Amino acid sequence: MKAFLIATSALLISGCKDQETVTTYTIQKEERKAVPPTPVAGDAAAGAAQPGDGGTMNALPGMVEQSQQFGAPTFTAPEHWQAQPLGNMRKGSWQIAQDDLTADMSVLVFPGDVGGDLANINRWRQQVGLPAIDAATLAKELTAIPVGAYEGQFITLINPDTGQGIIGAILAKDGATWFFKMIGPAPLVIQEMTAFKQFLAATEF
Amino acid sequence: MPKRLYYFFSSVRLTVFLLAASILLVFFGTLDQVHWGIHKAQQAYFESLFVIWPYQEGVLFYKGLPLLGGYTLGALLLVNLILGFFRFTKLTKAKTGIAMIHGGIVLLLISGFLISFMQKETQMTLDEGGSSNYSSSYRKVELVVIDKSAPDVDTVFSIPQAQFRAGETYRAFDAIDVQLIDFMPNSVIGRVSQNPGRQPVNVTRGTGVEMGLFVDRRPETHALNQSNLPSALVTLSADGKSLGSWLVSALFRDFPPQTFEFGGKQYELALRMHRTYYPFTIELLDFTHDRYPGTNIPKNFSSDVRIIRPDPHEDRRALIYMNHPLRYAGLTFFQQGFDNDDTTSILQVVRNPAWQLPYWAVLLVGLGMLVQFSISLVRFFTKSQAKES
Repeated sequence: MKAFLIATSALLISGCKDQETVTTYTIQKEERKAVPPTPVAGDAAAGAAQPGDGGTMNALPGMVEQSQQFGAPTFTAPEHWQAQPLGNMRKGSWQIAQDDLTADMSVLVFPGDVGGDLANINRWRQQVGLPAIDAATLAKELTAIPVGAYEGQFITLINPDTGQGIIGAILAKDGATWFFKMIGPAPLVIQEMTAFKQFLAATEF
Repeated sequence: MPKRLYYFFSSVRLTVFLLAASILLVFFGTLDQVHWGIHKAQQAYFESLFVIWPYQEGVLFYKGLPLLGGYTLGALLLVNLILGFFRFTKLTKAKTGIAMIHGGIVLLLISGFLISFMQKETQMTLDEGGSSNYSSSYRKVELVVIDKSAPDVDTVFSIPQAQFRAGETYRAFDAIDVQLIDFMPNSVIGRVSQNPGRQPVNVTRGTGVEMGLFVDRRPETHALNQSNLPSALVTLSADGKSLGSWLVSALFRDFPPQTFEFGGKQYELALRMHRTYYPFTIELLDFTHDRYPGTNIPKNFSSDVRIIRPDPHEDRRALIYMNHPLRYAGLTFFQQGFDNDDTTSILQVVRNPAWQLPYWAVLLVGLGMLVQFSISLVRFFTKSQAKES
């Protein structure tokens, strides 16, 4: 009899396996980080089809291939910028290190406007923990800046609370959008402002 | 129990039949694993009561081969083993070892059931210097509406994928009606501007509108080298007013959050891999990836982590590396992988309350064999001495 009870229980329990329910719970405040997807070797079920860069661009499937259509410009980077391996979509990649501080410098290009300046700037703002802004505010914060022989739009984003900052430039050229972005601790990023602008001016397409 | 049933369920013929059926199940399950992937094949063949092996895809039922599933075979083997023991074995001191061996095998079968029901595997991704207090499902998503209005906490309303029903409405925070219009376990998303002929997704707010996206359903894949892109169409409303229709997708994990306001509060809407939160945080201090000298062949991965728990207070370090997991709070953290030029560690987090049972079962079988052999040996020597004398 006991054996039958065990077997019957097993069969019944098999229908009750791991039923998750609708729940409401409270957690510590979270800020959305642009965490790159992390596929696991031998297990492709780690999430969705993902952009190739380190989570710094709102790429959609297919954009990696589209990005690779564009050749890399000629860059003249300062000597203290350490060149890094290029990802699937990076046309330029450097690391700037000083004492314990490290900043990341990237150059990416995508066809089209990738959602427009407002969406892209708000994405950068979110990466340093700043709230989104509207188009009117954006117009006041962007300034023109030479990028090689062209004119791009430059912005400085500093979050005094997190101590993180971005200096960046966006250039619309020939139906594509180029993104030049340095992200890191605010003091380091601000210190690199001059070098960043000189880098932009020296870029040859 | 009626005698006929007793003799049937305790018969050796049934044992042989069940073992043969198990061999068939393993064989056909292995064949189908090529198409379905390990996870789906395991669910269909070994975590089921009944399964049909199709001769080929899309074939009707009557052309398939029906098989008893793993749960059915396991349960019947368990019954057969127990009843067979009592039928064919007289329980005496001399048979102590045999009883232990049977007990060990029974425990092994029971542990298999328990592990199948209770084990949960998730993934925790940690960047160097970063920390996490949650792990994410490998395959299941959840639709969440998050109240972001409080300064220190977020309140999450979570609808797990197991509860998704197309057309159903769920009530979040006793105020916001979340209606799931359509859920696509796998999809493709792109920009209409770069894909002429595609129709923009029929939503009124959020990323789908702002980026001019289309979304198409795709067949769910279970292949090891492919992953699914779950997406859903959702409408929100409150106090009889529409808060828009939205496209949510696991793809949007790296996008700016989709937010809306209602009643003076800020909310976030997302479809994400299902999260399990813990009352502690794991911080990755350092990830090390050793290679054999002169090669790129991995020798060892290790994660130097810090476990921080406020209540009861705990703050200690631990090293997780291959074959040396961290066992903490009823969970086991395995070093599973890495990414981002060895600056990101991927841990597999396993909850398996019954993890010790297979070890005890095997120990019991081993001890039972030792006891039975010892009894036989002593009896042999005793008989030999009796004969000599």
